[in-house]
Amino acid sequence: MEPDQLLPSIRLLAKELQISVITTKRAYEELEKEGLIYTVPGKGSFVSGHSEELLEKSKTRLLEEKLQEAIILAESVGVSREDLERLFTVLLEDES
Amino acid sequence: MKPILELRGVSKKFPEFSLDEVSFSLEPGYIMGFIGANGAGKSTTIKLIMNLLHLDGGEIKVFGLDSRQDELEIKQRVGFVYDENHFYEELTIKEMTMVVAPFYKNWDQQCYQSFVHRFELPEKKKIKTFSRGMKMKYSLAVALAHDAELLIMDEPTSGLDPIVRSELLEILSEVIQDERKSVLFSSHITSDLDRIADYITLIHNGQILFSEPKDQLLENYILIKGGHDLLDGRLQPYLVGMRENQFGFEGLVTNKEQVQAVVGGKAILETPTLEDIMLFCTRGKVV
Repeated sequence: MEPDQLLPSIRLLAKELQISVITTKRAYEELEKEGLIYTVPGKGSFVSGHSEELLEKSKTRLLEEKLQEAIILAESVGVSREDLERLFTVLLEDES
Repeated sequence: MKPILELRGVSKKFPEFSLDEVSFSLEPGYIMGFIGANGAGKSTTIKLIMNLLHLDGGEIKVFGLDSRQDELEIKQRVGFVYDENHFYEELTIKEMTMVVAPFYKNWDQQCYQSFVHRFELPEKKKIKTFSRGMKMKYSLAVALAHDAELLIMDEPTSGLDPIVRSELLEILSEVIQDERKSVLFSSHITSDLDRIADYITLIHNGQILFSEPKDQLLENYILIKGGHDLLDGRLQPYLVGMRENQFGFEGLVTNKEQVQAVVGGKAILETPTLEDIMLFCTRGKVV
């Protein structure tokens, strides 16, 4: 979506997706808190100007979280740091 | 905002069953799921709202009006869909509509026709030949044609196939679009409400166990599965209900952080469904 693009109204989106109005409202509130959208009272919600940047950041955060999960999992099954690093390198090579 | 429906300390005594201080309220523009086991008091509560039963104590306000004194005014603005047919079986819907339409000041024949068309209801067949789904759709068409601001539906989906149920849910989400109308929907099929309901009210043995936004419920409660060794008493303060089996247990807990600290990685924590919440809240701590 483009910056300043108008989002559908909360009620319309809830109706179309057949989900609760309150759930939709909360989703918008959370997007606003993250700075991805902004709301003009009486007009609606719009995509923020720097949303792309923020999205990038939150994706990086997600990546960090997933890697952290992997580290914890490795510890719990007794895989050493060195083995984990080696495994990661192998996987990276396989991808490319 | 002023509630469209408000129950305060509502009580009703029967020899074998009583409703005890039932209180909850619903604002315009939302759908409330009213859940509970068979015999929990859902229909009794709905009948009291409709003034079909005498109220023993407490107060019911619909559109801010008293359910007993202003019954006629209220009924003009309420659409009632009951799980059983309450129309004359020997009539066709065309004839039946000629009987009921004049009772409503706001009757909109065009709107009625459009729903009959949309629901594909045969106008020339007797109501007794209708399937359950068709009867429910007819009640709904009547309710919507008099521009009801509050739809009260008592088990509207019981005995209906998934296609008709999904059609009904679609219509309900359309109904609340204008932020003026609300729906009170009683059901023991909680999967109907998992998506669409904004609020959930759970009744058990004539008492309200909770009446909260659905999202809040799904966040406050966590489904936990683990081995017997976790049941050493430390989980006790957070357990709402649980069931032990030969290999472990399954239960419902609150306070996610504290529970996580107690169990570490030794249990599976999941988001519950409404059905899980209903089951464990009504079954209690069976140990």
